[in-house]
Amino acid sequence: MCVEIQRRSLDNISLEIESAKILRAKILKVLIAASNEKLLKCKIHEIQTLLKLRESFVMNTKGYSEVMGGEKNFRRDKNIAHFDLHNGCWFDFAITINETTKPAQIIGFDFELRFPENLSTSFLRIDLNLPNHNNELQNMRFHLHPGHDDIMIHSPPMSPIEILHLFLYGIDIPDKIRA
Amino acid sequence: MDKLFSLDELLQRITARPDGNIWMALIVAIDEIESTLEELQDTLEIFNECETGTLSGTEGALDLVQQINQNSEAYILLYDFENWDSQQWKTFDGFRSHLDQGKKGGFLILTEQSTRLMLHNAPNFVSWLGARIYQFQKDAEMLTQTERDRRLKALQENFKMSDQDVIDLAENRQLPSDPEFGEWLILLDRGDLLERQK
Repeated sequence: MCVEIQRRSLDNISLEIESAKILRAKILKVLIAASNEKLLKCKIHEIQTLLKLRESFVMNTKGYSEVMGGEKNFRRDKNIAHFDLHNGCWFDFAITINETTKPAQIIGFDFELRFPENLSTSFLRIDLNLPNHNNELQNMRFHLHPGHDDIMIHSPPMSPIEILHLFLYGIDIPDKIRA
Repeated sequence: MDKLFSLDELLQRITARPDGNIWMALIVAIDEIESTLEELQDTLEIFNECETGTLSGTEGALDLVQQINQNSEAYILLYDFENWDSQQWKTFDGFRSHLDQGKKGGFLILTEQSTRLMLHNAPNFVSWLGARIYQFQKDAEMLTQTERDRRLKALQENFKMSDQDVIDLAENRQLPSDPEFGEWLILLDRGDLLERQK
């Protein structure tokens, strides 16, 4: 079943992009729009500081790159730099890109949204694992962790921009939480 | 013009400006003209949501004005002003109204030297530019060494592994498929090892 779900996922989404720089620019545009619309608390200069790029080169040609939003935050510590939403959620992400091929290709990512403290679910992480020669692992590349690091569920295929839209526009935190 | 402007800040200014024929000038190092031009063209198309053309001034002011007149793209990047003398800039100043074609405007990519010549010889055009002459800060979006070290430390602490452990795993094609390990290798400038995992 995993094989079939994953095949459908990979067939239905293009992970091809023009370049890491262009992907970063597209993400910047989405985040600036969200800041202007008062969804994102971060000011534009803060977004620019949080959104970083790391490029690597192999034999003077483009190699693998990383687009990073916010600092690495395994401890889910709110004192570590991240993107804040007006609904109390906050998130960070990292995207790995293979630029040795044309077009460039997204080969992995992790996006994690943390919910406000009064919710029993603390986070939602959406991952694309790296390509792997191990078939079992290969069949769970797109997956999400619904508030627990050890629970993995097949994720619908989403591009980084779609995930950002989901985080910014698609999560409704009600004022009153059901008991 | 002392303040440096990053690509992000320029994009933000372009997004925030009213729609109209607005021109800006960007001062870059001579050996960075080509890469800046490419980067600006790619990213401006995303932010402006319109086609962005590039026109070279290497054949002189009159030729450039002619190219502008024939150009169909909504936004234009003008470059190659390095061989222009005072007279070329005076000619360009005289034809400045040709830049107003009811489109979105554009950028002039200049060096320090060509900026000086423009300031002294194209006063009307310079007054049109107003304060929109920016000194370019290249690579401001790149991860700094301190930020890189902080990310590496977080990875080391979380996975209880050293950088060398990760390189060894990757060299033996045993790199875990968690996305963080891809980032780890890139931070170590060993993205080449990701090739071996396929």
